[in-house]
Amino acid sequence: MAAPKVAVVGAGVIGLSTALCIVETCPSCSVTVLSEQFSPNTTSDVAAGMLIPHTYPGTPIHVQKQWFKETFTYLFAISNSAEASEAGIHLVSGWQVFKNTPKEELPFWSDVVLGFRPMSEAELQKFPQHQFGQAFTTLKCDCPPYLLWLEKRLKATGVQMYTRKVADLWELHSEYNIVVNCTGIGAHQLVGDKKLFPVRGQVLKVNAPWVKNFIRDGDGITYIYPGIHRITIGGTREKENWNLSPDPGTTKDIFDRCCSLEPSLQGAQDIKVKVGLRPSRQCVRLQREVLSQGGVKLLVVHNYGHGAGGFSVHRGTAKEAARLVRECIAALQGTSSRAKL
Amino acid sequence: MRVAVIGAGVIGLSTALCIHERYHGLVPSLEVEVYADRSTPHTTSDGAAGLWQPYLSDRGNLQETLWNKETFDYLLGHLGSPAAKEMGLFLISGYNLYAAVPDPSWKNIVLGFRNLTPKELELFPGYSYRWFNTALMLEGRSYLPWLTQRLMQRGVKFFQKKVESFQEGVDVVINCTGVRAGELQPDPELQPGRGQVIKVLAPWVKHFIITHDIGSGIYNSPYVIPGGINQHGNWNEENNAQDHKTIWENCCRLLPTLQKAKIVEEWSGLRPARPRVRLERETVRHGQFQAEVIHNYGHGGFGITIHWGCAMAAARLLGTILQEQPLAGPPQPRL
Repeated sequence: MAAPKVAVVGAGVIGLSTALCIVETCPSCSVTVLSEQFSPNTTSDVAAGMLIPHTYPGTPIHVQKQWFKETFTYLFAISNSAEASEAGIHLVSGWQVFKNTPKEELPFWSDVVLGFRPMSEAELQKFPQHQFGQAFTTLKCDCPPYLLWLEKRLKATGVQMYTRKVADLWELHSEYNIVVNCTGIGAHQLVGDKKLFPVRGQVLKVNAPWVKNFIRDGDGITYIYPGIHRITIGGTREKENWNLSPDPGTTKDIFDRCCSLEPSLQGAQDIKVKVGLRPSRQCVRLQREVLSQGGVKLLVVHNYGHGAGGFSVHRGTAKEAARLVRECIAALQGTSSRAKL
Repeated sequence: MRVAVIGAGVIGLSTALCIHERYHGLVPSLEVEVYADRSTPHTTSDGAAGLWQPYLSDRGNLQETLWNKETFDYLLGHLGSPAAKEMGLFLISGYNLYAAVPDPSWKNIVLGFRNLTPKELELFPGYSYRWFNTALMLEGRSYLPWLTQRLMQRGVKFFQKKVESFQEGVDVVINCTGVRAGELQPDPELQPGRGQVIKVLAPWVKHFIITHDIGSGIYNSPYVIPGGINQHGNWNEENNAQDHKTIWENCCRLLPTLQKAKIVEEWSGLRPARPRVRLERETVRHGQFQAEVIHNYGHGGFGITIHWGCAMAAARLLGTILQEQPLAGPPQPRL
């Protein structure tokens, strides 16, 4: 058959990294990215992009660990190269602190990040309200730089990108052989997935360049993540809240909580407020589907529902999605060779 | 009781502040004055990266290790205060890489000191001793103005003047003249340790990285300051093109991401190097005049690291002098 035509719908971190993996593993494919939004207007642009995994209740731990490890290794290599600043990838050290000692002392990812160890008494003194903590070094993907870098690499391989709102996957069946659905929270409407729900997150991006270490409360709701130019401080986890407008009361609450973790933030300047809807699900939907309508088939690969953990596992799930795309191609080639008989 | 502090680098200003805080309430007649021909941003302290870290070897000076610890604890206590940002004070983590050296004297003073794990070692191949720790940064360019403001608020007077001798008619002189102390009183043990730094804009670098064998290091502050050439005995304060090339190549090899960083400034300074800090009292006599001098100079490349411990020690020496003085001394001619 002629070069398979693949449409990747969605241009957040999942869509762009998936498109890149497909191009890398499937040189004969023609890949196009279609999205209603591109950076800096995607959900990914709101996120801090910290590589600290979220645990999906519905996915086996060893699978999540594999995804995280692949992502970490991939980004670690970039962070140590001349491309690091353009890609927005950098190492950052810091602390995760708990008011009460957590049940499991060692998270599944503790041997993937660097230098993971319990905090010393002296280090804990900086956090009088917290009893226990872990220190480690991990990676941060700053957005927009990372998304722009992915876009640049895609364009260099000839991938076309179009701003387009896809209201129904069937719109694409005449132009494309395979559709890869990386629409994040958009999948709720696009494919009617009722298991997908938003978890609203409000964050502040502030100017406080003297903050060099990250601090995260073990509850995952209060955190301070230093980026290249700004610190992302947050946040909220509001289930089933679709509201994309910043809430001033929440802004004050976030600021207060973060200042109690890091008092020097009182001096932060130029506060910008952002809101994103984490595309949350019991497990990431990473699977093939064959849609049928009136005798016509459409091959779909779903890669959405990464919730709070998109950045942490993006490369791992992108590689898996690319593998599923290859399976689709094999199936198509099988069909077409049968047709030739 | 007039006390003249000579020198307005980190040592002079912090000593003046410590003295004023400690004795102003106790000795109503105490007048503290600061004399310097150079002040911020033109002092040696202004070029320093401001990373709290003593030398690898304590050179057998246990007293200096104690002063270093006092300084670290003092600064750590200020971290949570609203003044921290204005002082230019913040926590920073990073890496130390050396060819062959045992654990340093300061390993229990800093936070979270540990060896690097195998995966982290991949970042820095070729070094056998590699540590990670969290320390403090105190930027000279913020701290000195902050000290100056605190002193002015307390009524301490500043005089822009090059002081030529100790016999200037005050009761006590605190000699914080750093690398040029030899001009006031010859000191063969004091030598300039030239340093050249390149300041670049690389805000994605959040760690400090210091190596010692190839003489390059990266200190982190609002600008990353890679650099670090330590040329002993060179009095040249001008920037040197060959040094620039060496520093830049070494640092880019250490941290490839720096290749894309923008160079914003180049600076050279002279560290006041000495086998040990000179912190002692001396009575200087000339004719009928007599002055008590407290020397506090020779802090090499660790002035910021040790400054508060030394300031407190200098203040204690002043305390001894104050106890010896009669309450109303004979009038001294004015400067």
